[in-house]
Amino acid sequence: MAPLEPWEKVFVTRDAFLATAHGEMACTYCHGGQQSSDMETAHTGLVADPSAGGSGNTCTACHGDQSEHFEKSLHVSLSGYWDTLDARSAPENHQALETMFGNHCASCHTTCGDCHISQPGSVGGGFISGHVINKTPSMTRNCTACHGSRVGNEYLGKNEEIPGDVHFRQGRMNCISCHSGAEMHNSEAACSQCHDTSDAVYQVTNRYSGAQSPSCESCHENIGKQGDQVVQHVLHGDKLACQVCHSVSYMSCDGCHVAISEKTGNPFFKTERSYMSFFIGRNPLQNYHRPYEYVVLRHIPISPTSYQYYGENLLPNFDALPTWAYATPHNVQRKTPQNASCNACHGNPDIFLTADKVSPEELQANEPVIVPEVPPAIGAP
Amino acid sequence: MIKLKHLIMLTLATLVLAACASEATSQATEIPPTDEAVIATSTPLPTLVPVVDNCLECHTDKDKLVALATEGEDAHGSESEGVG
Repeated sequence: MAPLEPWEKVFVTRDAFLATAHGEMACTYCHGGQQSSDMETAHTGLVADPSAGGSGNTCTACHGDQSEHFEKSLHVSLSGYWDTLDARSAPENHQALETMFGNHCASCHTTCGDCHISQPGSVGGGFISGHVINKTPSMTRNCTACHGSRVGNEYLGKNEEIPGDVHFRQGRMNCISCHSGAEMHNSEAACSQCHDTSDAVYQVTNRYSGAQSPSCESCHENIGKQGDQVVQHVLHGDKLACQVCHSVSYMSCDGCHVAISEKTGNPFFKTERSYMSFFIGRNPLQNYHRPYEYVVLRHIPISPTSYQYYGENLLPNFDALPTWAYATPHNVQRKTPQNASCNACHGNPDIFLTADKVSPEELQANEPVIVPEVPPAIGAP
Repeated sequence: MIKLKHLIMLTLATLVLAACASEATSQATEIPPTDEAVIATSTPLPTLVPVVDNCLECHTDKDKLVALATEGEDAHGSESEGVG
């Protein structure tokens, strides 16, 4: 996505904006600063993004119902990253990793404005509709602006020779068709009103913990149940995640490293390699909500030296988590190479993550997901 | 004499009332109906836009912004390589 020109980023469309409820308020009500024809004076005390800052931000004054639990949403807390950093690191390295996180990951923190007013900072920012506040975020200028290189490209069919997700191609569904405002605003936190959320079943610390939201079964209610005409659904039951049969090749990446530029002082990253892959592996997160024995795995670009710029051996427990991670590729198809016949999958070593496909230095980390023995071909002696 | 006083007071009162009625009529016709509609539909909010909003004056002026807006710092840095 081409970045906006500097003037476009801050251009307000007068008529459209003033016609909205937010246009009835003085700019300084949300942004601070001062009324002055002198730019420097006007910008003194300016708050560029008054929607930053979680529960104490300006939006909460009027939109308390949406923002009540927003601060703990993964978009704001990014707690999933800390889940994995903490697991691979050690307490004495936490401070160095916090510095790294602030320099390289903080721009991924999402504010209300990053979804409803502007493009996210990670793609240069700037108003989407001349500061008109959009109730529904733009799929391409908000959602896939951040979730683009993997989910966005998969869903929209931008990977060469790989069709887009059937929900997009056939259903013309966009991100919010499945990912509701309640999910984005973490309104599910209201679960605690009925459930004992101290129970591990209800604890949500990353996107693969807690109940699946959304889940395929939210719409496809009868899958695997009485009356399902697809015998494979009934046969496999909860043994396979839906993507095992209905996903196709997706992006994997290796070796991301971060540093601060000596020339400009700006943070940057370098990813060694990215490639298309499709591997079925064992489910490392088998639980009440994800009972599957098999899931699909994506190689994530973590490396033992990813954060070396901030200190030596910052990830001493690198092997604590797999580098081939549980994935939910967004390129679902009804018909896929592996579901063409029983033996397109059974007895086909090419599509299972076996030890020979894992680099020797990552074998231990991936022990929980490596398939020790490919399921035998149907009808094989 | 008393009748004369009453007649003078009655005449003066009639003149004052006539003058007030004329003023009220002219005021009513001076208010444009569109202004009434704006007042009627506006929602009371914490801070209404001032008559001249300096922020809007500048941020709705493309030419001024082209001249004044500068490129901010690239969050990910121009030296980044590969898939992010």
